[in-house]
Amino acid sequence: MLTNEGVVLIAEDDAALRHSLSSTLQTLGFKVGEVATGEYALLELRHEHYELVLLDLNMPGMGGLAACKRIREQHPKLQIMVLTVRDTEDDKVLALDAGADDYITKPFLLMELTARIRSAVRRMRTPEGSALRSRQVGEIRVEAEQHRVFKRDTEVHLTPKEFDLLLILMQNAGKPLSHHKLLTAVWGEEYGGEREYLRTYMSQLRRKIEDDPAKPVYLTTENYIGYRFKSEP
Amino acid sequence: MLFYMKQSASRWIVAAMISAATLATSAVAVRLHIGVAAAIPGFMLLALLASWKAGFLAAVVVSVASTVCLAYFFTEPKFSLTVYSYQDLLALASFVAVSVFVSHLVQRIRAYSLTLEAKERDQSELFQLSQNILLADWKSGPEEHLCLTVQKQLGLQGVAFWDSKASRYWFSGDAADAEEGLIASLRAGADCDLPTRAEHIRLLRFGAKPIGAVVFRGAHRAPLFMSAVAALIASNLERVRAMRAEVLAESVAVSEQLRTAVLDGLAHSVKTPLTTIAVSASGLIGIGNLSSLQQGFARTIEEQALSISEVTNKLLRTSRLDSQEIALRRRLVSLQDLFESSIAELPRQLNSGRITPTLLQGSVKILADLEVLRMALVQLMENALTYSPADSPVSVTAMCAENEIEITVHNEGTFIPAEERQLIFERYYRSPSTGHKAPGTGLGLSIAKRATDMHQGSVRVESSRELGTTFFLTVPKGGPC
Repeated sequence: MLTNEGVVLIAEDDAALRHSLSSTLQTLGFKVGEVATGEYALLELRHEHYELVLLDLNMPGMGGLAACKRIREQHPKLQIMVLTVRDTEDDKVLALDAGADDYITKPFLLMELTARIRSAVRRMRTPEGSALRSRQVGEIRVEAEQHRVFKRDTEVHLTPKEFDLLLILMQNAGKPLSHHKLLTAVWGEEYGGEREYLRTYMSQLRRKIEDDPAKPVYLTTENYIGYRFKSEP
Repeated sequence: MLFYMKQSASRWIVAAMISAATLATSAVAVRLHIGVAAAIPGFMLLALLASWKAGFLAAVVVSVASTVCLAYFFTEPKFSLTVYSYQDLLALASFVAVSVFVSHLVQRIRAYSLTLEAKERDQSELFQLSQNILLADWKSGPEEHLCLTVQKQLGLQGVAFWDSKASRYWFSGDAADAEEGLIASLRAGADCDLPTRAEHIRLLRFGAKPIGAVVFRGAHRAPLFMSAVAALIASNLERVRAMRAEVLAESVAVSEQLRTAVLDGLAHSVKTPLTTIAVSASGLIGIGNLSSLQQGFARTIEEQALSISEVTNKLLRTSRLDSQEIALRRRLVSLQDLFESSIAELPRQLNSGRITPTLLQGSVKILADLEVLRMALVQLMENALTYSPADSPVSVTAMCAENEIEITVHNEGTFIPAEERQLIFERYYRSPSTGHKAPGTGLGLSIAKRATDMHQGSVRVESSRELGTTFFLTVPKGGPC
């Protein structure tokens, strides 16, 4: 059984969903606070310590997107996960641009939500700088300083660009990274629109890392958005 | 015709009267011992009067009558038509010549001024007509109004036109029977004037293209004038059409916005409660102390909530497809992107691990709207996963033909009888043979067909009891394989 820990603030205007989420998450082991609007979320975050906020995008008042921006300004390390109802890319990309770390589309499986919360809390608790040295997620281990990658203790040979790409994905394990962010992080600021590069490198990486590159377990595609390194494959 | 006869008869009456007046004047002048020098200008005046009032021929008659009177009353020997001196003869001859010549000039001036007057009248009539046509309310039957305005204002017996773009016939007054004649003229591509019947047929042109034909009945007007009226009608027809198209485009855009807003609102108000149901059900399991039967129920509640959500998504997609025809955003899409993102899009309750995609060598591209074409492939994959034995493999392949890419989705089992292979792509069609085996909305394959049609592609199915079922999706390719 995976241990659930973390302090979560639920900002959702629908009272029924808020209550059921809150009681369920508490039962599962999380510490939970709840508010109904973005304004109250900002107030609550000023007085109490939270590790993650579940933020509904569609709320009365200032709305989820504006709240997301303000929260990111005031709490740079806090994990923000937005809840959306639409299955189109627009509001997800907007939310990521506004500083959200992750998104989840309603309705969702509780298991999926708790897995995402766990990996967000883990990211929150990872001390700064440790990310630079080495990471192990599932069977994959990356040693940053030596530029080496292991799968089940067998070394995998990657080109420098493949390594950079895998490193940034693993350092953000569990978090969706947009095409733009990956391109600028690996290729440089002047890149951003060349999704073709990413696609080619991702399929090479999958061939080297995944058991079956056609059914990736770690390096998953986020439609419209980018890619995610699954932290709990 | 009768009108012309009346007019020419009245002319001769005027000529006869002036000639009689000439005779009477001569008699009076002789009585009063007025000399020839004073008489000649008097006779000339009468000839000019005749020319102005009754035309050139009448003036000739009056001139001849005046000459006869001069010869009878004023030349020696008096009271006889005989003329003795050559001088008198010359004077009479030059009188008649000058009189006829001046009458001719007067007639020319008169005709010119009449033409000017007529032109001015035509112009002011055209101006009035265009004003009345422009002021008409174009929303309430502008075509009928157009006919009536032209008929009333020009005092015609009947006006009718054939609008070839709308394939409709409009008339006002005595012109109910002209439809076939108009269509024939339009086909012949020529204007036509029938002066005997006072009928004019004109093609309605907008730019160089004929857009219909119009007939004017009972019009004693110059052919050019009728052409001008026809041009006025044609431009007004196009104006009304343009206005209608603009209003239609506006209302389509507005209703599209409205529909999107309503659907988004609906999606939101359905999906949030569904999330609550799903979360509460799994919350129950999380709390524990449930019997296995109770746990089973809780799981069913969670799964069903999610499947309602999938149906909602599908309906939203259908409606988006219905409205997206206008705005397909095509770009070069790689097959790998299409396959990969389609698998990522599959509903989570389906085991997408059963799908084995096989790609072509190299990077094959198609010119497509990824989001829309993906709807098609996702539906075919979903279909294959749903209607095949659990844990059996589903294979997805791509093949390159001369001008197109053929994508196949193959699954084991679920034979589709030949008579149903067309029907399954109809919206809401549910096969009686699969209806009870698996849940479905009858939307999936219709979405696939529509999304493929929009890409000028096609989708079909082959099925056999032994080999299973294969769907073929064909789309034009965007480059060499």
